[in-house]
Amino acid sequence: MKPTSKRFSPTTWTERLVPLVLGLLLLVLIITLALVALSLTGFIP
Amino acid sequence: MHYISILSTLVTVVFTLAVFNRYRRRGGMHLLLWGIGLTFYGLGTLSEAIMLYTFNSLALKIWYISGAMLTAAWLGEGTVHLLVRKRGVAMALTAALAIVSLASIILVAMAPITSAAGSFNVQAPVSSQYKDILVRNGAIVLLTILLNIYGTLTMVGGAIYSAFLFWRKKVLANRMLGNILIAGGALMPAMGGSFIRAGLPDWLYLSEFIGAVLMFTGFLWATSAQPVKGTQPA
Repeated sequence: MKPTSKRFSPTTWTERLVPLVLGLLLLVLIITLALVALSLTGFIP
Repeated sequence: MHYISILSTLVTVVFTLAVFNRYRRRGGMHLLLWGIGLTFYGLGTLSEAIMLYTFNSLALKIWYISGAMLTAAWLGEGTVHLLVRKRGVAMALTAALAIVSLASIILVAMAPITSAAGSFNVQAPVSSQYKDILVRNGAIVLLTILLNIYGTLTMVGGAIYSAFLFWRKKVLANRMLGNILIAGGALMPAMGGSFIRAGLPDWLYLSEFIGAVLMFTGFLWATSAQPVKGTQPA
């Protein structure tokens, strides 16, 4: 029986796309948290 | 467009049943907590759907407690149980969240409703009207801030972190992609308030719907059996 593997080999475009998407999500998360805090405290309407 | 909240409720009900069903079969505190969080999500969209037809003070309070206060926090608590290795820490945080949630429910239940309820407009989103109708004291506002920040940070941050780990180790592509979808989906309703302020109230309903669909797709993807290299087809 051949050994099983859960590893994957990213293609050239996923090699670039995934870090970009993760970075974008992190940026949106930070902006969202800032907006939530500012709006709920009344600093922005 | 705001009739989309009915669709969001249906998607969330199916999603919630899928999560509870997986919990029943496999156990796992994270699944139980996600199920509870999704129940709040569904209650929020359901009460929104009710207020498309008529104003109801109980529906408004359920919408505020579930949609504005508890959904993100309980979903995030599930992710905490998945990522925090020390079980005592995770359980302590869950106990604290349970106490804070109970206090939130009592505070909102006791909050007065103003006469502005009489001029509630069913054509406009409840998000753009609730501040004039529900009297929120300082404790309610503070708890809303804390619960939303905690929930968004743990839910979205946890999903991004998990996706990053799978990416770095180059393992389980389905879980990596699933977590990316879950992070994107959880951000959608969290951004809903920004859409309201930007003068796009209908987008709140759309963001809730897209959020539920993305998270459900991400969950299905992450929990699907992945074909592994080197195995013979059945």
